Amino acid sequence: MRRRSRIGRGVPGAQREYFVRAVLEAGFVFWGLFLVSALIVAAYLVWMLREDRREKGP
Amino acid sequence: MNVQLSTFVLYFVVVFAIGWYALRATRSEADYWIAGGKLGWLVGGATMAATHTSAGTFVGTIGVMYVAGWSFGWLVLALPLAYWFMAAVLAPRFTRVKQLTLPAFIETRYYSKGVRALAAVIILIATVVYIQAQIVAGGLIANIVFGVPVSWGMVGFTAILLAYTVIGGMIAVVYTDLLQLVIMVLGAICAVPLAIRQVGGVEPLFTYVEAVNPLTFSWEAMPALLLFTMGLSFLLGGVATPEKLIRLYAMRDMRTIRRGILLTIIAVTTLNLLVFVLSLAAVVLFPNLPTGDLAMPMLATAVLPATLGAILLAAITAAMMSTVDSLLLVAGSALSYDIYQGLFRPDAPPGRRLWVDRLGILVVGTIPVVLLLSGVGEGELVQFIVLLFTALMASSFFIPVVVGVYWRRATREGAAAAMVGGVTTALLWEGWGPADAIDPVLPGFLVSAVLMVVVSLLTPPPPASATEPYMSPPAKP
Repeated sequence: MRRRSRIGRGVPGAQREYFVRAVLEAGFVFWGLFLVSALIVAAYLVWMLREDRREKGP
Repeated sequence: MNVQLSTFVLYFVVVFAIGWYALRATRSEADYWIAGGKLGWLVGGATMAATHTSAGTFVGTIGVMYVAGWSFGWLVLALPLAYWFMAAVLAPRFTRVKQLTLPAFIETRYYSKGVRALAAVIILIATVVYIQAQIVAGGLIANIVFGVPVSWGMVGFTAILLAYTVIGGMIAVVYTDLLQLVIMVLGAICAVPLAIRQVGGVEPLFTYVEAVNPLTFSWEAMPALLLFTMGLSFLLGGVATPEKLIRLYAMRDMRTIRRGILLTIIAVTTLNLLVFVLSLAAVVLFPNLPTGDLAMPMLATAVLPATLGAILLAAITAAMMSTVDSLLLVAGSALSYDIYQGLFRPDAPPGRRLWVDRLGILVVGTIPVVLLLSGVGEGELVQFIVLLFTALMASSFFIPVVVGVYWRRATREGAAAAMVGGVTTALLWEGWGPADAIDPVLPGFLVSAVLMVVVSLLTPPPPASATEPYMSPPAKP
């Protein structure tokens, strides 16, 4: 069974909405940065290997 | 002897041993300033990453993170882009003619000793201020680890740094940088899970940080334009600071540079992200510190177990030392190689030149600590000075360096105007302009670019001998 987040539990109405929004936003802003960094590193690696091949020639 | 003290003693013993090895390996000025231009990707990439990661990263980030929130963290994306630009666009042309210093490149491309001296003076002044900020961080750490007054700590760290940098030059610096990068990564990797555990886990970390500062995980903590222009500063400064450019000359060839920069990108991005998480934990654990610069040393001593705390403190010290030793080389070379020997004694014998080089580093290393002890330059947040230095370097050198290797028409007069105009505009903006809305790098960069183009077009074109080595494709072997 999927574990439910403790954040927002037992908090009524508008406050809960605030907490859920805050956690979603935090998740996006926080983990998004790690994801984009990893993508840039991967793209650089692909570029580097292509440059090596190009420099080596046919 | 306690754990912290013995960790530091061991660390310094290894650093001195590397300095001694480097003294024996240094036989020429090329060895002293660019490690003979023969570095491989591992040492080359590690020294680039360690030089980049300063006390500003470990000590200063917390202060900015507290004020600006996680949105500041997104600036880290400018760093891999800056290094990619360096490897793909700048390095292939910039390294066609190997030089020992950035001002020497300026003289070769802009056919003028005067423009070289101007570049050296800008580097010298900006670097001394930057070294001051790093030494203050060293003094704070010494105060925490050894219990000595901050001023003693500053003098002690300067003495250690000067000892191995003066005798060993670039060879000592790059191998100590490799050691220091390993310590930094180790320290950050060990500290993050423990700090998160101390707060109660990742979810409580988010909740508590938002309780301390509700805007932390939003885009509203910092004006969008300021965030964008600070990112621009990271991008341009990441490319155009002399201590990084000189490492392109120190690496063997383009293949080595590309691999080295991959290592740099991975190390710098990882370290920054780890430090950001540590900063969030520090915001929760110490919400009311008088200065954010104290948070990371406090985390190391009050929260982490003794051994891990000692490693984190060693990591902070390593970050400071690996940056200052590189800056000492850059400033020392500006004084002894570019100004004294370039202008006044170009015919000095090789043996004497090496000793003048060492004297140059000794002089520029002593100035910051003397200024600090006299009360000049105290009290600024470390990261604030780091950002200002980056903006000044980017405003002065980005245009002359990048345009210099791509535009034949760029002249010495244009380069001089671009350097002076860029740095002056950035300084004026910082002092009297709306620097809290737009980072000084944007006006500095724009003025530098406009002056380069306009003044170059108004002055006689450069001789082909100055431009051809950079513009013509290299001959096939």
